[in-house]
Amino acid sequence: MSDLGTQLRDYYDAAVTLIEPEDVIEKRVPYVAHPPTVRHLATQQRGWVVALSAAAVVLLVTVGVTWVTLRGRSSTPVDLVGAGPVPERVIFHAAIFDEDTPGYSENYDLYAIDPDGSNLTQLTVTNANEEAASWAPDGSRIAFHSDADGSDSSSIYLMNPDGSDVIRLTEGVFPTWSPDGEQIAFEKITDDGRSVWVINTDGTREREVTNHAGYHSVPAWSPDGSRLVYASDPNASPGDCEFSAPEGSCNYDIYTIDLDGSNPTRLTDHPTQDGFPDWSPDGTRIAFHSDRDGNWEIYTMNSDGTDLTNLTNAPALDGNPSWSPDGTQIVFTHGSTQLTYIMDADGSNPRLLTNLPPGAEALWPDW
Amino acid sequence: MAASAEETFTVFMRESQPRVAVALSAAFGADAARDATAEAFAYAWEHWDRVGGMTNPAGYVYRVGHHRASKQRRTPAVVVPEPSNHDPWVEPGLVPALRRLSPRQRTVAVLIDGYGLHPQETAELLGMSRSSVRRHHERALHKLRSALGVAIDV
Repeated sequence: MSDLGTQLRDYYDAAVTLIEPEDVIEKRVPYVAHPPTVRHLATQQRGWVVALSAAAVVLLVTVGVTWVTLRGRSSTPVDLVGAGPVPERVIFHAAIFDEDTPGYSENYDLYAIDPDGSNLTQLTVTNANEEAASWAPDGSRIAFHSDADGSDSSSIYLMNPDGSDVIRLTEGVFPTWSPDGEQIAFEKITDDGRSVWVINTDGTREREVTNHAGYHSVPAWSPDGSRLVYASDPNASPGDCEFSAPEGSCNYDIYTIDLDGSNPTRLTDHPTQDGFPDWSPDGTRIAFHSDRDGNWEIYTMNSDGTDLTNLTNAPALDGNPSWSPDGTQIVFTHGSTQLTYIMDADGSNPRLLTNLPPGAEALWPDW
Repeated sequence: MAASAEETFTVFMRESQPRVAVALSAAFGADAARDATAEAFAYAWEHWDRVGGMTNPAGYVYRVGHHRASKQRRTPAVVVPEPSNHDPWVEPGLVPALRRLSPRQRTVAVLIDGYGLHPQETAELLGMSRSSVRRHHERALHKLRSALGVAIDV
């Protein structure tokens, strides 16, 4: 079988018909009487900005009212650790890629939805990509990564659930809050690979946890805050685990590590890819996704790596699991449509959470 | 002696047309792209004294073609048709896999993986940031690999 690049080129070489420049110069091809001018394009963009801004105002007012209502009973600061996390809504990022669908957008924005599929609200409306959101344990803040600064790398931001008080924390991706709400673990991308870092939420004490070579990605906290679970290939060379690398050059497995970087422990050992781990609220199980059966599925295992269980067993793609605060359900991304689903923690009762228009994707949920 | 307008336009068109035509084909389908590409280059020639002096004339021509194709899109458009019998053999799952990509994802993947454009060249042609190109490319490869299986290398 030839490689994908050759296949794509063969297909489009056969489809595309090129025109001779002489035919254009001799005016033997049709002429565009009214092409878009720079002003016209700018006006189009302004129209979108005005429309999106108006929509944003409506949405943010709605979100604000909703959140005041939802959070009113938990607005008093209390010790939430051990009392059960407050977030009652699922947060995810989404875009509508179908250009014929109202709301079409090529950029990911953040959304929140109730676990029963109601009260879908858009939290960000920007021309950047906001992705991989994570609730603070008390629901008062949201961490996410974004390419809003226009550079080639993403940064981690914090904001209120109504989209206000946005601050840039540091460069990195895949932020996740510690159970006490004081720290954020995240992934940092360099030319040498990827590594797991931790930073205080006030921006101080940024330090690397995985102080060794290789690729270390997408961390999540143990419920007691003493360890992190993450996907790792410690033997990968720079570039091996990037999207542009050939298949087979990277082998992520699931590891845990103490917060001070000691005791890295391998939990899975399989030649395919394991990733996106999330620790259950009671600390007994870890959910992750893997393509070990030739198709991406959601698995759970004990926190020591034993008792591996495939929860999805479906021909469609399943990934990005996140536990519900009470540990009874798992929210995840499912299927070729890449929408967000919920199932019980034993894999039963899967159902669609995000009923979005055609062309939409709803990814990387956090509950 | 300075090159004539015909000569500079011919060089420009021979160099930039393949990527413009492929990008429009990936987004709108070959039929719509053929007309849009022709009209966009015809407009560029008509205004070559101005377009030829632009810093990114290929990006401008692509934008003209994109606008034209958007306005004249056929409904329903067959954006990714099945290959005909006399076309080169392609993996049977390729066409359905390409149909699952958004227009931007398909365009970026075809330009980078099929035609070897650098992400920066792709960003300049499509009028996007490089980080957006990277994201669309990642999503496209993820979907293509999921649909086609892990045996295909990029």
